Amino acid sequence: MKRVTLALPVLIVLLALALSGGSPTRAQSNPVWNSAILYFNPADTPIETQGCESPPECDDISIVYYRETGETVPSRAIPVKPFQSGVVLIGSVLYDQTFKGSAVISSTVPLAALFRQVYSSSDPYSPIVYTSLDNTMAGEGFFYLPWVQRTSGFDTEIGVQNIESVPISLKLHFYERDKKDRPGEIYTYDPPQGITVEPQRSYIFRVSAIPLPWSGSFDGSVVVEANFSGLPGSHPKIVAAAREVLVGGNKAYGFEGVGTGQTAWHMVSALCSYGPGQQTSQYSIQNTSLASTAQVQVDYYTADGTLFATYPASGTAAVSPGKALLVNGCDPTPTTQGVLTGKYLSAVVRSTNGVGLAVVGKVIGKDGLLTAFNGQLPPPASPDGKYYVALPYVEFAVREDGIRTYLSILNVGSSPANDIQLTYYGRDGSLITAVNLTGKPLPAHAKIGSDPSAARAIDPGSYGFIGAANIISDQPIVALARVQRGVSLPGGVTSLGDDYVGMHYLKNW
Amino acid sequence: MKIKIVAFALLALFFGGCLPAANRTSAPIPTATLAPGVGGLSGQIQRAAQTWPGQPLRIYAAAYYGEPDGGGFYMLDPDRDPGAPLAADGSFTLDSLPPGSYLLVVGPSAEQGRRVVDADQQPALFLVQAGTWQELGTLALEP
Repeated sequence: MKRVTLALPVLIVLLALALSGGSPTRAQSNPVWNSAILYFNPADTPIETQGCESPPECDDISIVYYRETGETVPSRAIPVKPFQSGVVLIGSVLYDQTFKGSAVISSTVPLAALFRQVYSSSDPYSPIVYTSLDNTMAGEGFFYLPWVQRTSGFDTEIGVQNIESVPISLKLHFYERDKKDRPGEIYTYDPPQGITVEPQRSYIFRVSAIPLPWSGSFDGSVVVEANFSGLPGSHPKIVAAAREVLVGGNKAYGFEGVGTGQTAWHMVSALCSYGPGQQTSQYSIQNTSLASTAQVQVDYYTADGTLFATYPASGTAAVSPGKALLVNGCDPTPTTQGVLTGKYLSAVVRSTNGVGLAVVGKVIGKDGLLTAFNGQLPPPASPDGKYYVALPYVEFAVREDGIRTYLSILNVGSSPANDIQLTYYGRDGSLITAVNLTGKPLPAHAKIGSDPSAARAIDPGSYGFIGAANIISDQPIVALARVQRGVSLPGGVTSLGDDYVGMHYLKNW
Repeated sequence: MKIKIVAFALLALFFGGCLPAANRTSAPIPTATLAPGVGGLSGQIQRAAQTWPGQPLRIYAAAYYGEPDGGGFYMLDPDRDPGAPLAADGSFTLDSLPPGSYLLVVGPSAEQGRRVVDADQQPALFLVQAGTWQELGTLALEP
């Protein structure tokens, strides 16, 4: 009982935006699988040992199915042992088109999980991935999505989940990005019939189906507002995630929203025409205050932690309430000799006047790569003084057209990291290889990369590596995983992918 | 007794389309040997080899949860849930299924798979009972 109670802070929230099936290019037929949830048990010992008959598989995960009536049906439990990872594929069968069920993951362990778009190798579209959300990340009454689009190319789907035990109502506030010649407009979507979401359920908005007042396109940010049904001004807890797909194309990506604005966000990727794909990052920085203007500054650091550039070149950039500022990775001004082009940087997005911000970054490559990732916060230390990050899905195929995952680890502390241990685990929980990333100390703001190939986690002649990674550090760190695949598609598209952020957990068992 | 940590990992299962499914049972095979508490299914999948020429194929049993006449979901952990290789002629034997309802998925991997469908081309549900082995005969995959 004690162990279970201690594990509570790692509750997860995950939205499955699988309404339209798999590929944006695929016909809208009912897919075999609607969702793929990848999980990893980062616990090094069984948590729930009471009554365990088959150690070390003492813990389990299961899906609890919510009927429309609110009644729950638990699925069979999947036993998980320490460091084990896997994928749960989920599909639906409907007899009744009005049916709207939902399901919740239940676990006896501090599960790290992420949603991955289901795909097949014969249908080469981008592997959308986004992470679960800790319930401490839930927004109270509001949730912020820093980048929402409806253009001729992209359409955003927004999933909002009610994590309260009573119904809530939703409305969406759209904030158009400010233009050079005029301020962006604001529109609230609150249909007369209302949008009610039952407990534990989610509601999916397709932005293209919302009657925005602007003709055609929208590029900006969204604030999701929730109230307990019939109680305006109340503040129920919600979470939200988004995915965007390129209309008629292969590119797609997903990202989580932000429940509470923060005054500093760490961005693991900051690029300007980097590498053969000429990758460039873009940040959409949203002011989460609905009343005050935010003053924003972005500092860019080299891979060894040296401040290299700032945006804007002097002073700060003002961001109006609710709106978002777009900063291109080639925009900042270098503070030292050198040019931004080709640099492999990280960044810190700061609010200089205490007004909260939410940030989503994208990386766009000329080779077709298009990813999204969230800003990250320094994690809290575990009782042993260390910092723990789990990456539940690491796949690295030997063949070049397979999925490959690349990890980046950023020191977000104020002191050099002297001990960062990265361990790759197979899906069965076996330790494949452990790597010490601090052959020399990693300075503050410095980052380092790893992948299963470089870490020698791949047996010769095998498919490659499929499993998870766990990082333990003596300094606060954040991690970002790039999941990409090589393709050969019209238009010179040779790479598709998405990013997801590593999940912090407290080792308190 | 285990106490679950309820995590709010939501799967929005309100998908488009209407897929009436049928519970199927067939005559038991009395000579089959089963471990205590589980059931078995056997049969033959039509045209599987032609669908994925040259590829080794597996059949997966995805447990179904939901309403008997409403809607629901099925789930599969392909690394750990019941599955079996498909023979070159499409025949299969699943011999360790816990009692419950299942959809069957066939493919080179679960994610690339196709569902077994009934005569109306709708995903078929198979009810498995402990101690019972069912021969399902010839089965078709969704197009």
